[in-house]
Amino acid sequence: MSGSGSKDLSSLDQVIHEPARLMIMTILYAVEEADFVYLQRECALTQGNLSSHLSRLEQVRYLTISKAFKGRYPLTMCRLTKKGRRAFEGYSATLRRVTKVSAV
Amino acid sequence: MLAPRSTVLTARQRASRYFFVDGFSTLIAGLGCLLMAFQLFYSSDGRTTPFSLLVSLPLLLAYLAVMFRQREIVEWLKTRITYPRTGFAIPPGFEDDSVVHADLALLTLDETESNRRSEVRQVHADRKHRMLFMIVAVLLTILGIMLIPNRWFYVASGVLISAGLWIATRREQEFSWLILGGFPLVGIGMATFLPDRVLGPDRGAYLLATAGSLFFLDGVLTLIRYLHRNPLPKQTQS
Repeated sequence: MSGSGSKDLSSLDQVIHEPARLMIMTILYAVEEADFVYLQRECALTQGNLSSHLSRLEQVRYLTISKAFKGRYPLTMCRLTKKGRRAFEGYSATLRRVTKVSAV
Repeated sequence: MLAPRSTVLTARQRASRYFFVDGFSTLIAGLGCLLMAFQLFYSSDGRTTPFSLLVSLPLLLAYLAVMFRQREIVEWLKTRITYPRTGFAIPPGFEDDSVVHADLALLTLDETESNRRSEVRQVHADRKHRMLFMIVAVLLTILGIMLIPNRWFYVASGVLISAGLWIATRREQEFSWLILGGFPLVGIGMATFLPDRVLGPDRGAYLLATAGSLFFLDGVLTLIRYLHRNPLPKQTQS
């Protein structure tokens, strides 16, 4: 691996880099918003696990969590913030750059 | 060799198809077609008795309610059955609200949001064109069946409707082979068994009735499969 590649690798966003959080970010990037149950089903995570990862992402303001009702059914809605979308795009770009450099 | 698909694209497509995963939209569309067909049967010439009026008026009202409130009816059913089981998601460009978000994003002059805005617009425009194409194709086919007294036109209509449905909806909703294969079979059935005395509007009503039955049956089967695969969890929220 070249020096540039390892430098890029170290600059990867560590909050997103964790596999479960990367999965959450990928799904939320692909939709307008999704609720807790949908994310749990798509990511195949336990409630506790998903909760803690969502809290971590909310802490760094990559997503917003809001409570809403659809009829009588309560929804815990998650939506990426602009900062979160930018961070995900930056992460993808860095990863692409790293894998490109590494492959040479 | 096929290019590997992006995970984001896969997630986006899964989210787009998620709306149709429980079969409610197909089921309600089928119900609408059935109501319209029965309304046509009861209101066609030669049957204007007080009884036929008594039956056709509520059918017409029910059909209009299903037609204009289809989205609300589907949402009402989903709220009680789908969301507690498998959750809720709004794919990009699916809700009209997203256009509002997109328009607001214009003001920020932010590149990311601006790209999203054009993407959402494109999704909306693309869906509108495909749906318009499907509606025009289906309406022309039904009119053709009512006006053209040629039995082979039924078969051609079945094939055309099937192709139109597949082209218009393949990105979001994959119709089952029951529907895609069913329409040509309906056309063949009508060409073979429909008596000559059946007149224009009734021919359209027969097509609508069989189409409605296909949609309804497909919706019911999809719903049964969905309920079987996704039992209600004991605890749904964190």
